Amino acid sequence: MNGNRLSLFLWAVVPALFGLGGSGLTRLGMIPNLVVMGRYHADLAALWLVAGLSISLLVVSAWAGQRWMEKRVSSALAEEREGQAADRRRFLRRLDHELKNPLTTICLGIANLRSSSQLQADEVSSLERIVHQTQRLHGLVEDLRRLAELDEAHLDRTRTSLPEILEESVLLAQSTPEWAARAVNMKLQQVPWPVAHMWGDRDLLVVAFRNLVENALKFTAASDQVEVRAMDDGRYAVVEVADTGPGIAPDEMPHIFDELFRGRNARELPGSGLGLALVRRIVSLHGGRIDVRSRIDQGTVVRVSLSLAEA
Amino acid sequence: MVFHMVRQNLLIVDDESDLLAELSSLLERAGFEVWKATDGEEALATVEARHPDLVVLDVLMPRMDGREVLRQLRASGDWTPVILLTRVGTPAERALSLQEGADDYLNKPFEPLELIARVQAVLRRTRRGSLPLSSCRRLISGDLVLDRQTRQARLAGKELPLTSRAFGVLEYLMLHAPDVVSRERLLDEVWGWSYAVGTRAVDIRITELRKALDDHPGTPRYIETLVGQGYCFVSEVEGQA
Repeated sequence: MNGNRLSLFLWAVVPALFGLGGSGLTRLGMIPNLVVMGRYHADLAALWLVAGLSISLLVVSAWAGQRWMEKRVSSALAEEREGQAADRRRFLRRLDHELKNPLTTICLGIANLRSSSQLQADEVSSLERIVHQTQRLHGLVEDLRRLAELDEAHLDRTRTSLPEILEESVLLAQSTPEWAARAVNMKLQQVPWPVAHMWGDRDLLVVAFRNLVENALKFTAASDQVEVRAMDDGRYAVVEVADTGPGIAPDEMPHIFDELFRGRNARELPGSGLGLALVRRIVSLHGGRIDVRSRIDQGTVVRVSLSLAEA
Repeated sequence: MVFHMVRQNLLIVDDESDLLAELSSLLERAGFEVWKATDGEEALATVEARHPDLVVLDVLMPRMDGREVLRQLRASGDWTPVILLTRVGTPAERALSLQEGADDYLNKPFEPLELIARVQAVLRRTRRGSLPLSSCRRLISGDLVLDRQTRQARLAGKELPLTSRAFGVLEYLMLHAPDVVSRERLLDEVWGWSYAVGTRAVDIRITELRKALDDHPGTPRYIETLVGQGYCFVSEVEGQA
């Protein structure tokens, strides 16, 4: 990028300087000024100047034209992506809507069956399996609703402490029995000062970081490591949730934030495929950035940058 | 239902027959006498003819939807308690249900036992023939005035700087006073994020409210903590249209 900038600068400035220099030298009489072309006399000083400036102008306008085209193309692409995202959200909202009535009926039916005492033992265990699967559907509908709510959410921003949010998120992730014993290594910047406060919606940020920590725990074994790091660089707080899990395949990487996307590794694991979509939505509502780096068989780092509160 | 000497009558309204059948079976088991209606017009006719003690009303129905039924009931001066079953779960939508005159609402899909608990709570709270708190614009308790339309709270005339969730918690506790409301239910109703935030989020808002109201947990004027159960609004609440 810098090399490009430099060569553009040279192409734009050198011809103009060259023209100016030539014109000056001609004026000073160091180069003969009068050129005779047939019947016409040309002023060489002017020719130098015009030629140099024209080349520079040409280079600059070509560059500006290209920039303009690039911008048009990228804004058209962004618009299309935005349109697709909106379509997807509309579809998900419909799905959410259509699932609710059948699910309510099933829940009521289960409650009615449970209160009838004439069930055989094997029927009871069938019923429990139905209950279990219904709870999964329930979870999906809840996540869909949250996602839809975030579309029209306004943030309840207060001055919040990121370390507190992270500690709470880890605690909540560990409140799930299967992860209660799992260690999460916290490395929060303390020296020479702790991470500065930020202006954000504490509760939504807890949801986002809890999701990231849970993801890290879900995709790793007990022997793996999970680490949560936070630091600030004066303008942004940077949080990383890292794990030594199996990593994300390069071909899946572009889709991990899509709603309902589930990677090959995730097929047997519980979840709705809405977690990361939710996280991204929350981060972008805060004007932040989220990036993922991953290496197969080495692990994954999710990095979230959020701007700090003005001191 | 040993406490009910007379079985109370519920009218349930939903256009889906399967749902209606399961719902009525559930409520009958809970000890209520259940009448059914499958659309808005039938619901209005039944209320007029039979005067149920409470109506459980689905919002989305063909022809006349639940909101319209509710509006017509209230416009005709009928204050039979209504619990709305909604499918649109945004907080704004839920707030709207209450302002239109519902006594409570539940989001589909709901926990069946939760519905029974809500029905009982609404029946307990209802003062027959009077405007339910949930349809009042202002909630007043001594010096404290909550304007539900402008979402502002004032204490002795001074505006309280509350976050919108703290306001939501206070509003919910006042509307359901003197019932004890669990943290989970507050998360469900005010946040809509029951599982994800953790109950500490509720405690933080309660602390914010107590600070703003100058209320002390040891000697509460407004909000009392019931260990292991939740919170309740202990002072008398009046409504103003």
